[in-house]
Amino acid sequence: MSTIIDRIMFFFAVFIFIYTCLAILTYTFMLVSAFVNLRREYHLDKRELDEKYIDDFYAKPISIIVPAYNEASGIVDSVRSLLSLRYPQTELIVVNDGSTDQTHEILIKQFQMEKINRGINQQINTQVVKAIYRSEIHHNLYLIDKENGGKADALNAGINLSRFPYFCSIDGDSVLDEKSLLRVMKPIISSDEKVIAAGGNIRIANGTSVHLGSVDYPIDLSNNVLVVMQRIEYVRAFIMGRVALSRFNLMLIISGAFSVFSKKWVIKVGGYSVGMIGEDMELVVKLQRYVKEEKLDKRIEFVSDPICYTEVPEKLSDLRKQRRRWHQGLVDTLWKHKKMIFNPKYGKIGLISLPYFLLIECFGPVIELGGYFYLIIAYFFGQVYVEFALIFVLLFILYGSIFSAASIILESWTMNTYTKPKDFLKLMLMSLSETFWYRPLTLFWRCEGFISSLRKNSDWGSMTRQGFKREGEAE
Amino acid sequence: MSISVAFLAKVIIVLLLILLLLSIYTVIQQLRETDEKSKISRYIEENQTKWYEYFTGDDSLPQGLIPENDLEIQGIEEIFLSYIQNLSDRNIIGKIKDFSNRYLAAYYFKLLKHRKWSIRMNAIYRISDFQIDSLVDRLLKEAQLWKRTKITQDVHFQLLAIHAQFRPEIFIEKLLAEPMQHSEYEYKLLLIGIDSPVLNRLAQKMDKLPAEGRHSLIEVMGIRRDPDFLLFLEGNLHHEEAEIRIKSLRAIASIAMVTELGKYEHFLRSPLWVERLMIVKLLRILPADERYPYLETLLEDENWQVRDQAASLIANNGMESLVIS
Repeated sequence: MSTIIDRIMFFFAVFIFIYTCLAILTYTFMLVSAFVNLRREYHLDKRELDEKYIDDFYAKPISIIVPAYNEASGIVDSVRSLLSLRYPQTELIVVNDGSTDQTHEILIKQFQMEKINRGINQQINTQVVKAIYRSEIHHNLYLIDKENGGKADALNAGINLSRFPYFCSIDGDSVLDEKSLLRVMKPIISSDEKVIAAGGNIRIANGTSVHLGSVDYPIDLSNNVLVVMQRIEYVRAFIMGRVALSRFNLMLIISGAFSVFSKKWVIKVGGYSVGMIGEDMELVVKLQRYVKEEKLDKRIEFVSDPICYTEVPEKLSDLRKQRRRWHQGLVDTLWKHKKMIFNPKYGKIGLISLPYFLLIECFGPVIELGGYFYLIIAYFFGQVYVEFALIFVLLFILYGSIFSAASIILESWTMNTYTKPKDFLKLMLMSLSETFWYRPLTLFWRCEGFISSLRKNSDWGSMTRQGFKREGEAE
Repeated sequence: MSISVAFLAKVIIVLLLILLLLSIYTVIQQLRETDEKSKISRYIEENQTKWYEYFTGDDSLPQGLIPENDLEIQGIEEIFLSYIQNLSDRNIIGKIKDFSNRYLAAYYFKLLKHRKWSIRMNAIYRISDFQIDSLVDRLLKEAQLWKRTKITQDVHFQLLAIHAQFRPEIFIEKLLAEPMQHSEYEYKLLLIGIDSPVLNRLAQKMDKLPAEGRHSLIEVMGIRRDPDFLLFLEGNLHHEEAEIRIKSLRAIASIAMVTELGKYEHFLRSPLWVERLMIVKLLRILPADERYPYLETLLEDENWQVRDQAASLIANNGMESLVIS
């Protein structure tokens, strides 16, 4: 009996060890790649590029689509920020997806919106649109009031109403930096439209003041430890993860909170998939799939300097819901496009990107959490296993904490993040604590998401919004 | 497992020590950068009125405005950029150019030799922004040295832009000689500021340009709306590449002038609907009664966009001719 247990324990020890080593190697490669890429541009004066791109002769008009479901606390700031963007020609379409709070009323009152008769080009099927409004004070601001159909359906309704060849999807609780749109469009314009979608960098702004639609600098680090840990996670995911994937045209996720797409290609793939939780990731995978199947020379890119500020959960219960939803979205998308995984027909996407998401991002939490359980079990099995367990602890520290701390340093060296030295040191210390409490928690929630995916739960996954601190806003 | 706890623990300790050292370095760097930024802000605050008075007045340059260190130069750079980006007063631009050539050239030459790519790029941007022509020869000489290592796409583009701005006489030669590929957008940026005679000279060598360059050249001609380009554009109407014909038609429609209508009649029967659509756009320049017979044919077109444009042209300004006919 004990021999069988010994063999099982040994097998799992070797399996977790090899897996963790492979993950560490992958992250090391991504960190080095992101460092080389970002450090090169650190001192570059990007205002020069902004000036070149601002002429409407060159720029391509964009429809900005803001899906909103019960976003009453943040929607006005978000719309104001979008109205103050530096971009020659935009239209702003807020889609109220059957909110049950005051989202609809607040928008109508704040922006003096009037009902209009405007035809919709129904290129993608959506739930019934009840009315379309246009602002009397900002003539490029529209509101679609429609029956609830989920975020994907709301975005599709916005695409149908949009007039311009590009659309930008932005979450209702987000605030954009004024130059964000110019900078996220740069790869699209300068590549002669070879780039068909681009995503920007997302930063956390809980507790930040918003003054007439712009975030006030410097941004103070929140006192809420959960927010601090998410800040570290975002830096790691965006700075380390996406920069490296984008460099090699391996992007499968661009954030749903802020991304720009070429409308033509999105319509070709049928728009956002309704009924799926990770609709933003799924759309990118669909686009990549289409590009490979049609043998097109197109790219999807992540751009690190256009900044979108967003609120993150401040309560454990909200964070748990969010992480379950995200992981469920990832699993569902991978399952839907399983044909592409390890399939040479899909090139680097099929052979590198999707396997990375499957093995590291999707199965990672299950294996890692297994590693944590191994630590507990090993404690009861005596000397040999305790040694294995210690090795795992050290590998997990390397895998979790060290990479997170390195990402914080990388961010400070490569981006103008306006982080105060005190906040930087706090982030460093907190990142080192990640392995011991935050990571196991999120792993557990992501495993729950895995299970939810099997049970096919789907909803908007609302969270309690605090709203940005507002200044200079007319009541 | 061959790896030992002691070994891994040592690795982690070493990595933690490295992180600690990097953290200390980062904090020191942040403090230094913050200090520099506040000194630059203070310079701007204390001197922006003096600069305004110098730019708008007739007095000669006050001695106090001559920079004494790099931070003051960076402050001046910010002030100059705000004027350049927001004003187009020739007198002010001239004063910025004179001052930069006299007092900033040495600083930017130093930056051109910097080991960091981004700092060298910034120096090239400033040479262009502040029109530091005294540095152009030295920049181009310096760039020859960079080529020995690795010249990036961005540097290559920026050097072409410098040629276009300061050395238009050799710009075409450089543009055709360099093998690096640029996008249509980049070609447009390069060509949009070029004088018409230089563009016409480039047009004579159009076939030596890559497709992106050829397309941009024709587009820029359309944007300029200069009748001098008309003969060249009409010469493309039988070009073997459809994109060239379509872009030429669009540019001609934008110039709103033709030498002889007969040159265009074959497009009415073109197998490409975009060419037929361009003809509708071109017909706008004719008087209503002259264009009607053509529009009548296009109203029967198999493509709905062509029919739609033809119908709206008749509807907008065609009632009279409809009655006459």
